[in-house]
Amino acid sequence: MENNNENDLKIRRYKNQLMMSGFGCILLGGWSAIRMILSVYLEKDKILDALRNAADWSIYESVDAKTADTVLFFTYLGMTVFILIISFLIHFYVGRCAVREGRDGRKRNFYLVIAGLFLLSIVISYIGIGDKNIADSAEEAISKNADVVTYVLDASMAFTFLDMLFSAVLSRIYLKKNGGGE
Amino acid sequence: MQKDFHYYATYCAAFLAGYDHEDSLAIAYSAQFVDDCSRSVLRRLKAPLNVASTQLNLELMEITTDILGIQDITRIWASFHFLPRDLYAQKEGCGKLYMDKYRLICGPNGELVKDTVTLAKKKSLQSVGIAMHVVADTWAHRNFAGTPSLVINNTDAHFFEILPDGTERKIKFRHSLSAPDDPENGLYTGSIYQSAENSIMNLGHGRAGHLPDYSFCRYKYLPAWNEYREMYKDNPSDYWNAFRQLIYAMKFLRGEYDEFHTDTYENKAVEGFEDEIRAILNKRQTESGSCADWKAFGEKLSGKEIPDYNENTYQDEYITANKDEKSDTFLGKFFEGTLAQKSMVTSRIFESGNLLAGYSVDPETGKLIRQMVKGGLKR
Repeated sequence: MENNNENDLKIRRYKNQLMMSGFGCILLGGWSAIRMILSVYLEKDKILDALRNAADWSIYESVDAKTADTVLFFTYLGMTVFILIISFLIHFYVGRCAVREGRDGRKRNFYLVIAGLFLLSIVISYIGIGDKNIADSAEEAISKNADVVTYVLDASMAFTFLDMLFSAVLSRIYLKKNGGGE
Repeated sequence: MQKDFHYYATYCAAFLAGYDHEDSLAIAYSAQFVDDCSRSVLRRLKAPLNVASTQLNLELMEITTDILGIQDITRIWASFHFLPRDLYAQKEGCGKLYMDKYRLICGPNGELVKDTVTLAKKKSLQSVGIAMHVVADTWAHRNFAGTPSLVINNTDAHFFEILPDGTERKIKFRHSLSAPDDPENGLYTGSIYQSAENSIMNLGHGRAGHLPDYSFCRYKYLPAWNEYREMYKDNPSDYWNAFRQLIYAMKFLRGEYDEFHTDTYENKAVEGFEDEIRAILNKRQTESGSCADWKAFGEKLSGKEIPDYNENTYQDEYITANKDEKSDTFLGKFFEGTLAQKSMVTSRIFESGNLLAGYSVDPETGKLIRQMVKGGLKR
């Protein structure tokens, strides 16, 4: 009655890991969204300065400065919210597919491609860290601490995607060895 | 197990073991009352609260799951409903925290079963009933532990019922306490997944709902402690063993055997009744139907009417008795039995170096067990 050969145990373990990494992906997608919102809220002035530098100066000729700032800021906010929603939905899609494959065996391949791309983007962003200068002001130090938190969480995300890819591939390999079933 | 087995089937087992109708009723009532003797009932009776043998859902919701709360829960559930099978079990690569919980996993025919039955020797009928409840539950509740623990008691979506024709049907648990179980359609209620290790939802077999308590059910699942290995649970077979073991234990308690051995079952007394009993065990029905069948069987055995179980039967006697007469009442004797059982099990758990049931008091002397001070903790 009990199916407990080595392949069965491995399949269950990797499917369980796949499910867990799926949940992790959804949670980290939520974290990305929260991070974006917080960065907009906490760095409002910096953002406004950057927008002013980048904006077409003609807007400041047609309306007063405060109105122009508001228009710029809300345009930026709108774009951020749009990107935030897209980002979360992608994380949710990837996580949900992983959970479904882990729990019910419903296989899809596209989510693994996205997971791989996410992983690649995190790795590339880490390569860029080596170029950053050491902080020589208090403000930069605070910013550096925030960066450290981001890097740690990005590392968690990278691990989650790596685990997801490994678990999906290995569970499929062992499923095939087992003749398609547990 | 539920009332069908703890009350009616225990009555049948007691009668087959040689007890008369009245004594069998007393044993059966006591066996079932273990599931009803909560602190809420004891408060109403103005009885000592430390004789409680169960906790209601409302009581469990009020308990904190800090170490003191966990000890309080474990003392009751491990002593009466999830008797540990092997307090010295070994598992490689596990730390003490995990091993303490692993060693509380319930199972039949452990050393504590022998201790439980022996404890009831030459004691009251109420003590016999308590012992029979505990022994019966070791079969139904095997592979779960009487302490809140995710890493021991959790189950997941890999849960299949084996139907009578041999096919497998996936079980999906719902979490509505008010909705009755529907065995025909494979709909059962189980507790909600809680990721907190010591959540009450992870106590005993909550995650598997009432499946361990249905005598007809055969199922396979992945216990959290079993490292992705499937566990097959054959309730009809386990309940049949439990029934025969109860008869054997009660024959020992009546003095027909000199010693009680684990893994020993009474076959002679059930000769001629096996088909009838197995038919009751295998019938796909919930508690009410099973109670009716066991009741009919018991009345056929004894030729006398078995009154329906009523939790309040002996409560007036206890409430109206004088203070120095309470010990001689039915419930007074029951409370002495539960106290002895709880002390014995808690002592054994404590002596094994496991503090999940807290410190223990020697039931004979009333003194705190000083095994730790003597440096004799067994591992």
